[in-house]
Amino acid sequence: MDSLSLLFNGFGDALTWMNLLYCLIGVSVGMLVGVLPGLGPTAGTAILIPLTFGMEPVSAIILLSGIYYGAMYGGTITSVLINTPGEAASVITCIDGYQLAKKGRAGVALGIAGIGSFVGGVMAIIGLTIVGPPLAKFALKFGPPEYFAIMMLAMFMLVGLMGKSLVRGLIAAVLGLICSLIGMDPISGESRFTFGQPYLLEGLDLAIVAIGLFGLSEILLNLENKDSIQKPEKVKGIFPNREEWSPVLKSIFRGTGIGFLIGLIPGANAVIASLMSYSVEKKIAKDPARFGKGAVEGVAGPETANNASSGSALIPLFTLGIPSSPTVAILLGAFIMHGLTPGPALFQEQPDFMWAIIASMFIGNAILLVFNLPMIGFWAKIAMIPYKLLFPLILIISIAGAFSIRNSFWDVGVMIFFGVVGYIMKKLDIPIAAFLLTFVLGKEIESSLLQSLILSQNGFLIFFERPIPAALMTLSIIVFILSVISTIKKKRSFLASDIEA
Amino acid sequence: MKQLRIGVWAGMFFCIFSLYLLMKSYEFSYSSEIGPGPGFFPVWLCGFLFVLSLLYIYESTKREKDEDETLPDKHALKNVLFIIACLILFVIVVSYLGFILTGTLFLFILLFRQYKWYINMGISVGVSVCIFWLFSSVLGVMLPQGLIGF
Repeated sequence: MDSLSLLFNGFGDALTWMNLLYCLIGVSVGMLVGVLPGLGPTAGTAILIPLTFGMEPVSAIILLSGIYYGAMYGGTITSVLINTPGEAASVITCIDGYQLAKKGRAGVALGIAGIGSFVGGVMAIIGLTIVGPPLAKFALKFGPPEYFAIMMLAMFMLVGLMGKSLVRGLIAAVLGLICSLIGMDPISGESRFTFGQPYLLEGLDLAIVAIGLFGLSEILLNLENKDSIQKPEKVKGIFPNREEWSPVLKSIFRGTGIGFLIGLIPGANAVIASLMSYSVEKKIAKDPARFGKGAVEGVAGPETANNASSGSALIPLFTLGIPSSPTVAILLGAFIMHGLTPGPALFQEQPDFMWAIIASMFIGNAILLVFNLPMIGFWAKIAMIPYKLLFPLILIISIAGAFSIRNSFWDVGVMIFFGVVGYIMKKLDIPIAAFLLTFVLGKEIESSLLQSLILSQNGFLIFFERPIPAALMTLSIIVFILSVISTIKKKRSFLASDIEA
Repeated sequence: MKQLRIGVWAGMFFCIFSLYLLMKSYEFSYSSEIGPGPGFFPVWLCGFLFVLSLLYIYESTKREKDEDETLPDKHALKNVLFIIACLILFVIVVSYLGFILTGTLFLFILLFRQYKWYINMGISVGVSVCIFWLFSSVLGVMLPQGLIGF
């Protein structure tokens, strides 16, 4: 059967009223998470994981992935209206978006961001529809050395591209790997680093670690600042002038391409896509001086790119089981929790499931476009909820959520512990994204490494004997060397912030 | 005497931490009859962490002054410690008082002086009851009820 007819079947599954409802809830929560500056998509998704326990796997993943791509839309609103990005991928939108708002054109900024997001998101899912199945088929042939090499590349990309310091990025990655060792060793069954605690035998739960690292630590960090939320700018009229349409559409077109390609690279993510798109737009503009003073292209390009990239980032997840950002890692965790392992086999064995999810994303993007443009005023009001009221609520929901995963207050303790750890890591500029990603992949990295070495006649040389791992390992080494050089030359400020989306 | 940077302290911590874990890792067998054993990966990881922590210490001593140290001031630190203390207390108290009472207390303390006491009371009780109800009826998770039974 070809993809198209499978996709139509998928629409059949996704359009049941229950799944539509879950899709709607998912994207609305995503918007909410995107709009609230104190709560990012990673923590938002993690907190909601327990809520999906009783659901069918399809509905659960529809809901959780709705949060993921919905947050990309929501983050824009606060960037434009109050100059505060709701999530990291919208940071760059503040520059021109807020300037537009100050000129009384907030509606236009949000309108083109919405249209761009929709185009970027939908094009990425179309890409997934086309590229996904053949890639999954190809990846079926992959053995442990191939997987190990892909994961190494993802890790070095992430560590090399993000954060102020390569050393600290690597520390985060190694710490994540060490934490993933806690519990039973998958190959020998020996218990490691459990310190005699039966509780630790099962290992640390991903959702709990993520709520702590991304949710709690963010709250602790925000407590340091006195909250002073600005009054939002007025919103009226959502369409650009007639002469602006052509440049806007061109930026959207370019943003889609940039975002899509960046999303495909394991380890790269929506933040990089939006930054890259902004610099491209600025470079090719006839008068770059307009940028920073309210250029429509400076909103259209990045906003399209971040959505396109978050859509295409699902391609490595669905076909290889490799997450490229913390939120995607949480999605991976959700798949596993519901007894499914994303990867090439899933496309073959459960095509109905996969296509229902993909179809739901088309629907979700349409919901986001249609519901949001008229409701911008409402979301702006939500952004005004004072933080002093918000954070106790987030805390108590996190506690209840962490407890409910295994009915244990141990887990709440672990969440608090990782909250403090995340806070300290943020203070030290150690990127928590690198930690979470390697934590998620840790068991997989170890078992693929050990299996490769068992297969191998010549130790580590097995990674250079087959063409695919050899190419990927060489690429990883090049990425690593380049990031070492950039560290020595002190040119790492470009992407200096930690990421989440 | 030049004051040691926070990064140096953190680096030293990682250094000791990695050595401790490295010792623990040697308790597992490094290789088995078919290939590397359960100790193989931990040993290498802890070794890497040790090297990285030394590099981190070196990097921290070299960094220019302007780019580091966003240490919280006293007031902020007090806030942060206060919240952590509240969270830990929550976990200790909840098995005696149950979720609703503990939750109410927790929220009341955190919202203290932000709102008039009766508004605060209303929010605290309302939210706690709502969450308890949501988890028990919709999700089928019984949050702890404590000694008094609610």
